[in-house]
Amino acid sequence: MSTVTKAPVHAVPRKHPVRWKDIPSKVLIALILVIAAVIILLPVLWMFLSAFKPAGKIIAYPPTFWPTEFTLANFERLAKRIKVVFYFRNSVIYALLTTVPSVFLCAMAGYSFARFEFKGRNMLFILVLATMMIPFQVIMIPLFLVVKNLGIYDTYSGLILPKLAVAMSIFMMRSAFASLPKELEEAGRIDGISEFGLFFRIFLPLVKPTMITMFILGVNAAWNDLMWPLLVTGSTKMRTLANGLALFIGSDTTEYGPAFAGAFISIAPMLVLYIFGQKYFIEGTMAGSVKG
Amino acid sequence: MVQAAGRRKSKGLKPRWAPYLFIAPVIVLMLVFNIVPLLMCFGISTLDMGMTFNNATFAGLANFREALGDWRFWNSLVVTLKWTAVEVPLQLITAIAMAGLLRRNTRPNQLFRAIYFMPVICSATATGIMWKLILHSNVGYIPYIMKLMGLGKVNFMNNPGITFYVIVFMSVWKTFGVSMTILIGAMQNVSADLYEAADLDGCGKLRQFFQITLPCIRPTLWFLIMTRIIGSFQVFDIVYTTTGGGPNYTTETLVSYIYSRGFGDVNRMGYASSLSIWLLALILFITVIMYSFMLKQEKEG
Amino acid sequence: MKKLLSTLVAIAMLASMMLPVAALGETYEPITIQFWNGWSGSDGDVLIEMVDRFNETNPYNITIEMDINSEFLNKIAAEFAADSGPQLILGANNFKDLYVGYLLPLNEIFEKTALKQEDFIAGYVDSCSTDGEIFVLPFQVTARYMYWNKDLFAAAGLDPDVPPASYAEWSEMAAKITNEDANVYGSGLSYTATVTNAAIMQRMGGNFVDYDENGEFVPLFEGNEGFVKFGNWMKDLIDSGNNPMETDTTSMFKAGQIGIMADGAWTNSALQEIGLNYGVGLLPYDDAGKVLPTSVSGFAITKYTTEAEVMACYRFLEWWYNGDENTDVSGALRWSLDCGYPAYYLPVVNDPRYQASELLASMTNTDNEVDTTFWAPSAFAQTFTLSSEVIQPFIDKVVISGEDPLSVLSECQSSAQAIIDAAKK
Repeated sequence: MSTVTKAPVHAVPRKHPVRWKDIPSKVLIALILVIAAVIILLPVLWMFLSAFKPAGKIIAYPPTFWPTEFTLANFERLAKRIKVVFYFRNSVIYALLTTVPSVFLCAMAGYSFARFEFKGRNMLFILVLATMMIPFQVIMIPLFLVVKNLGIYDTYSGLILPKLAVAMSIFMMRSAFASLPKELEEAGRIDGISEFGLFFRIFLPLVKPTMITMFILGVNAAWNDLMWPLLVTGSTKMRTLANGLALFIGSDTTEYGPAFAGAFISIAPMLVLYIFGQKYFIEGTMAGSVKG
Repeated sequence: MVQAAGRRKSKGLKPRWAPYLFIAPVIVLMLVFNIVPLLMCFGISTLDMGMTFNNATFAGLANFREALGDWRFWNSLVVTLKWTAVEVPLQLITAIAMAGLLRRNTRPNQLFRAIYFMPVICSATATGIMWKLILHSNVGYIPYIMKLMGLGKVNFMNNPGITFYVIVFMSVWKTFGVSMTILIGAMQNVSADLYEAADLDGCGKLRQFFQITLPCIRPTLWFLIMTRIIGSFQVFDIVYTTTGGGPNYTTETLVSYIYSRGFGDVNRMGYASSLSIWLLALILFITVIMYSFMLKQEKEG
Repeated sequence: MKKLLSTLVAIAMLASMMLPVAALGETYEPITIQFWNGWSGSDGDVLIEMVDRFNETNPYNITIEMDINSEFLNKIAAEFAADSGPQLILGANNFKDLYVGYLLPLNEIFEKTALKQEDFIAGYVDSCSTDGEIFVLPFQVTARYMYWNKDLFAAAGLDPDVPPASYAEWSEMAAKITNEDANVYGSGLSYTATVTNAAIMQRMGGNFVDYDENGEFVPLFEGNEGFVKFGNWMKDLIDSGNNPMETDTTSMFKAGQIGIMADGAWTNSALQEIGLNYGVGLLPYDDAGKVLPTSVSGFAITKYTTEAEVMACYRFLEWWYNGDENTDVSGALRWSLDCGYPAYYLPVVNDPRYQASELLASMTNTDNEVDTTFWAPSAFAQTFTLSSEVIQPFIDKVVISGEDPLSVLSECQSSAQAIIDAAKK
């Protein structure tokens, strides 16, 4: 409250100055944030709460928000129909096996685009951009034919290799490496470090936040990927959680209870990942701005 | 190359092979798993074929010509352009505003960020049926609350006039968290000195935002605009899981239409592929324009 | 008589199973069959249970490896394009046209197993055949049925056990049931449920496509008074506020907000779980006479199957339809009893448990004069194209845009003709 005293402007303490005229705008900001949070959360909360409602109460008139009675029946049905633990394991395998190598390969490519001048650089970068423009639905069947003809159908290679080169990752990695000062490699080269040493020992640690960002976005995409694991594995060995949940959503019949219960289960690991990775995640996305 | 390399390197000369070696794995993967299928797609587009290659006949450019006279193709093109014009600005403005408010790393801000990121990590299929049910004209929770509040009856999902905008809203709801997070990162990187100087000049927060923050994050904004526009030409999931293109084709986007030609009730892979090529040409055209514009901006900046 | 027959069959089967094992001590090589389908949802549970039971009990060392998969249709398309596939699939009867050359004819099953073609209701088998070759063996038949909410009937002062007998009555009763304060609608037609709406359309105006005097296909939209009648009827229901403008009316019915609706047999299990007080029966007939359009889906064996595997598939199918001495309920019978689908196989129709089910009795058509043609003669392969390109646009234009049904029908005529012409090429 000391701020009311007529201190000269420059004498106002730097840290969190509270000024009377700021208070309405602070309240307004808080209000906006809370309203937005309600809009975002309301449907999700409704979905999660509905997972605990008995059949016949999810769709009802008048509709309810809070369950009048809690039941675990939807979760039981989910567990009865699909092998949750097995599917969960597959999801983790699929997400990690595609994302971890992808982050490294894309980092290498981004490094090359950002730190080297070479013949064909622009051409290759346009090629990378072009792959971003192809909707998956368009090349789905041809891609399947390629995988089949390479003899990697129903193998981990077939599952993973087509998912490794991600244009968006390369794009962001390029920005991240471009933002690092020029002196870095010069110093390294004077010390006689090899090109790979330079990349792995000096540059890569500096873009850790961007790598974590790419990792979170990659895991998220793989986690919710419905089509690819189904398409490219012939047997039921590689069914993921996303595939399992889709089994409750049919064109004629949708079982809302188990479907919502499944959504509840499947979101939890991603949320934990986001909360723990948030610090790096935010840092990692700085990359694009540094040049400005 | 190896001999005396150590000494030569000290002059800052880079081995010629290094950039290619770094880039090779990704380029090989892209050629095999993106470009080859794309070329096959070109091939298929010249065929008159059903679901399979049995009984496929060569059709030349007939499929491409047919598209030009297909009103649903034009309709879906208009819907897609409308989507780009409405969804991309809406999503970016929301993301910029929220990023601006949540720039500082305080505890409450971290909580809000996690909340706003929630829809991103929910599965598209689950959120699709969730929205359909919660906005249901009769048994939906939101129309019910609106009715109780005296706001009247709104049929969100079955009104050719508004359903499109409802789907746009869902899309913004689902994905703005990613753009927001990327923008927060960019904003945190803006030098604090600039703000302090502005504070001393008595420059208001809102003016600081427009005169310091936004210009400083221009490259990130360009990156987002470009990727969002490219993405907006590929909208499919959100339509597929909610309206399926209805009512009366008012939400049928290009990729939904392509999908319906290839896999839905019609099963004409050749024709669907020719539509895909048209779509690709369109995206390429727009990207080239944007990319050159972006390079120009980067040079100026 | 029936009992005697089934006992005899059981004994015969028992004998045929025991004989080779006992007499020759023959052992069977282990054989695995990949069986893919898209039967997600609660029906899939029954399928899983039956397949498990077959795997445990069959004496032939056959293992059916089943994959129920929500993206089955995409997956099978990609597999066939890559010239490979599983051995056994479940698909709609239009697979015989969609995948010409990829499916094996199944007629031999009647020589190699105890199954008899006469036991399958002929109309359904016809719709799965091309020139006498059966490519899909019926697994499930479904028509669209009338569901009504008995509580709402009672509340409106109507007899809960007497559903409308005509579409005029449907409208009258709907008007009585509609209750704006309670947000209740008398009628629940969904404007995007093409097959359901077409079931009523066909009852009013007959087949959508038929043979002309030269044996060529001809569309029957132009000037079809029955279709005009349907368009006006549906539009009036919506305009009068007795039918909501809504795609998902099934959810409303489940919530007890709809008086009368039409839907497939699959809705029964969900309604029973909720415990709604409802009735179900055949939709009323109209000007086109006794028309009960019924779609069929069934088993198909792909060409990626060895002779031994074909035999293994046959054995599984035989077991599915007839069961064995260890099970008193065959797969086909359970499919009807548990999932509520009417039968297509006479031993099931004649089974006392089937006949004891009030639900199945109310949905089963016992009248031989009834025409089960689904939209067009079975040789017409483009029914699904017709659905999305002609019939749904008709409903959209009449109901949403409010265009004149008669003039929309002329457009339908030419677009249907274009589909027929394209197919001729």
